Amino acid sequence: MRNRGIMLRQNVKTLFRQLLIIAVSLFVVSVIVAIAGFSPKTMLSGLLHGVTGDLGGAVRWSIPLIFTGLAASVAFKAEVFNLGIDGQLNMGALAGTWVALSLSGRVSRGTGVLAIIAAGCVAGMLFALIPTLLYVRFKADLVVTTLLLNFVAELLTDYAILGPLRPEGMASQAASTPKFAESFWLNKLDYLPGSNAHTGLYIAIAAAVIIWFVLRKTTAGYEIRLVGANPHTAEESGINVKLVIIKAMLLSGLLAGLAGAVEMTGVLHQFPKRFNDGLGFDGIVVAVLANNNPLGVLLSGSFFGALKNGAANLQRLTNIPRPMVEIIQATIILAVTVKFSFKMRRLGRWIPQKGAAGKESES
Amino acid sequence: MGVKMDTVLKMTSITKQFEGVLANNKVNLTVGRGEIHGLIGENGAGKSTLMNILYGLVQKDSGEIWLDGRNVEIPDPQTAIRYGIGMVHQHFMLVPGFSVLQNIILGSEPGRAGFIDYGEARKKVLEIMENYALNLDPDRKVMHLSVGQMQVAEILKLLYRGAKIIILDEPTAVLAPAEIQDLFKILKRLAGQGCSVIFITHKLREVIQITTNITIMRKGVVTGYVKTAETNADELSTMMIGRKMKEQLERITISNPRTIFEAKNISVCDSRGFTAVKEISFDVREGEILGVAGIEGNGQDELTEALVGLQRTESGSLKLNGREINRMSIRKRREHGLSHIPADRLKRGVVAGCSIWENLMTTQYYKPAFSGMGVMKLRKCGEQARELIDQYAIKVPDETYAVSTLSGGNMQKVVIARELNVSPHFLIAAQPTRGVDIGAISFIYDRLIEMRNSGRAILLISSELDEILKLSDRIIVIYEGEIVGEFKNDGNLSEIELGLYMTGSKRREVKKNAE
Repeated sequence: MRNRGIMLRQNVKTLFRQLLIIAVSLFVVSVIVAIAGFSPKTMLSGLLHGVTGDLGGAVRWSIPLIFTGLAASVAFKAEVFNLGIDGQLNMGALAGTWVALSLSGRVSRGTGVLAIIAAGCVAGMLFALIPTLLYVRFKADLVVTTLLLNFVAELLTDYAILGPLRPEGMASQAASTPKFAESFWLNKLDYLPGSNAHTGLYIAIAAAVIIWFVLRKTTAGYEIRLVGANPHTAEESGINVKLVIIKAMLLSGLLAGLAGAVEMTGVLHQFPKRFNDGLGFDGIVVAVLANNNPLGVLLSGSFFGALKNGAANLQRLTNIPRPMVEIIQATIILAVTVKFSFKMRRLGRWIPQKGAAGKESES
Repeated sequence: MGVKMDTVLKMTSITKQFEGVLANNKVNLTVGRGEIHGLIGENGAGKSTLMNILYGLVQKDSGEIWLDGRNVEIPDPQTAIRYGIGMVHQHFMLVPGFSVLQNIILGSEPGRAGFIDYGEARKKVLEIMENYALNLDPDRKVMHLSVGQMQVAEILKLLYRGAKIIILDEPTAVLAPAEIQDLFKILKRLAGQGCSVIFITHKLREVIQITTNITIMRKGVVTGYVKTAETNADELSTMMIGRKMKEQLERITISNPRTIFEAKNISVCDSRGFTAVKEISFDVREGEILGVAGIEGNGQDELTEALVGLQRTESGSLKLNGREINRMSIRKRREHGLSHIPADRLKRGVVAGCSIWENLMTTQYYKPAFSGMGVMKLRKCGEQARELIDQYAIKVPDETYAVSTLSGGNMQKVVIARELNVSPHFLIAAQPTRGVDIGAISFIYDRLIEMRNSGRAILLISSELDEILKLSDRIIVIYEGEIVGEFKNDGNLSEIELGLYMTGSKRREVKKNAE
């Protein structure tokens, strides 16, 4: 059980480091805000209000960020760069909405919600399959293809809103699909009244636990870890590297699609044109802050959810203008990525010496 | 030595600590004018650190450096070069697309106002070549040179910059035996002209052949300083590793051995699409180690990759225990009894970022013993890993440590434990002891011979001729993708003779494996 002790200690250490990063970034932000002539105190209390004063709002935003954070974590574990989470999310949301609209009044509530979620998952997966196959078959760079397919997804959703899913009687200027039947909406959380927090939270928590289990305990997770850390050795050992990459990308796309579908049935209940303002890219930051640990994503996803909500409140409640709010968010994101390179440097400095230490103990 | 040499370089009490590890602990080194000085020790003994301090790449914590009786500080390589210190690294620092002349003057080009005075440069370089009797066409592009010639170009570069002390880091590692002799002649001439040479190596035979004095290091301290004429290999190796070398295991001969592995007319392309292996045929029998000798880059990598299943063959057949495996996946081949110790340990042997148990499981994890219904039996994996760590004497606190924290030798033991534990019928061992310390080398040799004695077949691919001669029952020599010689290793083979085959200056018509 020594192992478990070591792992626990490492996790606690990581957690503290992450908290430290957040504290430092908040300090930097305060300085920036002060220089810009606003009160850092107002800013901090405004941000805090995003959690204490409006917990429901924080939870509402945490849900999609946990999903996209998980989507990014799975891909990064396999060292494949899925920058198309936004696109996959949009496709999932669109598929969910379409299913909801076409099943309206024809199936029971449970079946309907399940069908919406399943459609989202499948759509996200299929949309992730395109760049994956291009990569596996033709070595097309995943960073480029996934990124560009985001635009394709966006335009496809635009088309759907203007075409097949256009609300009846609407001219060509439709800004959204029609709302689907209320029976297909996820319940609001009664203990967070007056907010948009919904039972999708439980799905997000369940997803995090399942993904943790998959990565830690299953052969598929083991393969993903090996391929992510060194595909050459994995291949050499007889692992089908391409298949593992396909699996990881599909799982990532599934989670992204799930994020979209849950966003539809949980909060929006229709597909508003360009509703997604970068939940996928936020998910990447969530994953980085969580060190790709699915349970860590629960924490970092909640943190970014609160931040997102706090930033929105900040605009409403204080005189701090929107660009300033964006700078605050960006600074925190920057601080998180700084950790990234910090880790790399530490790795570079340590590995040779640790090797040397091992050598000393030998012979 | 009739003449008393005056001291050129004196390093006294050099100490350097890296994150708590003493890489150099009060190290002394004295080198005379015109002396070839051997600096020997295992990997990690501190030789490189000491030389990096001398060359200004690393700063010492304490100690003094004296050059020609002057106490100097060397904060960077530029200063070292100004003091006449030059270093030939193990990996050459040459620009392949430049000519020899351009490479030599690179960084200290003569000329004015941004124009290089090639006439002046050529004159000076030719002068140096004549002085030291070094022959090399100054207009040849470096990429068309042999490895030995590249080394000469490196040495010329140092001489051009006025080096009086030349450090050679493992210079023979990349050379064929005949080239080694050429290098030694050059070194003797340099010494005759008053240059001092510091020759870093772990090969005792070479150090005895070429040097005047030897400094021996182990674990960061100097364990000996001897006159070469007054010592022998046994004494040196004892100083180097702190104990006597073990005798090798006895070999058992199997009567009427079956053929385990058979390659017939195998051709393989390299990554650029050129044929790297041309119609090679060989077989390996029970209880046999077949050595593949050859200078690196003559098709060994491509051959190995084709046998393992990483690369397609263009033609030919591969039979393992009579079954055709040429079309099989890597996993299928492994299930049929093939194992592989890869030449590039860090790239293909281990997953450095993963733990030791994860590394020991990469070929086994999917089997019922270690997983069921897609879920890993983590406790079983841990047990197996602990057993292997014990059995293969891997020095590590426990199986959850990352492989990246291990030394080269222990890392290689992880690979070997994984590959041998499945008791393969046919093992491909590529450079099995590269970058591994002497203790681990003898451990690995013992395991290989044990395997051979138990009736397995081993294909040993190595660029270390010593290793091939020590372990193999039979030897084939590969040159430019073809087998140019096949020999029984009966103790009468000479390295020089094999070297001639390895460099392509000699070839024997190898009998094609008839039906």
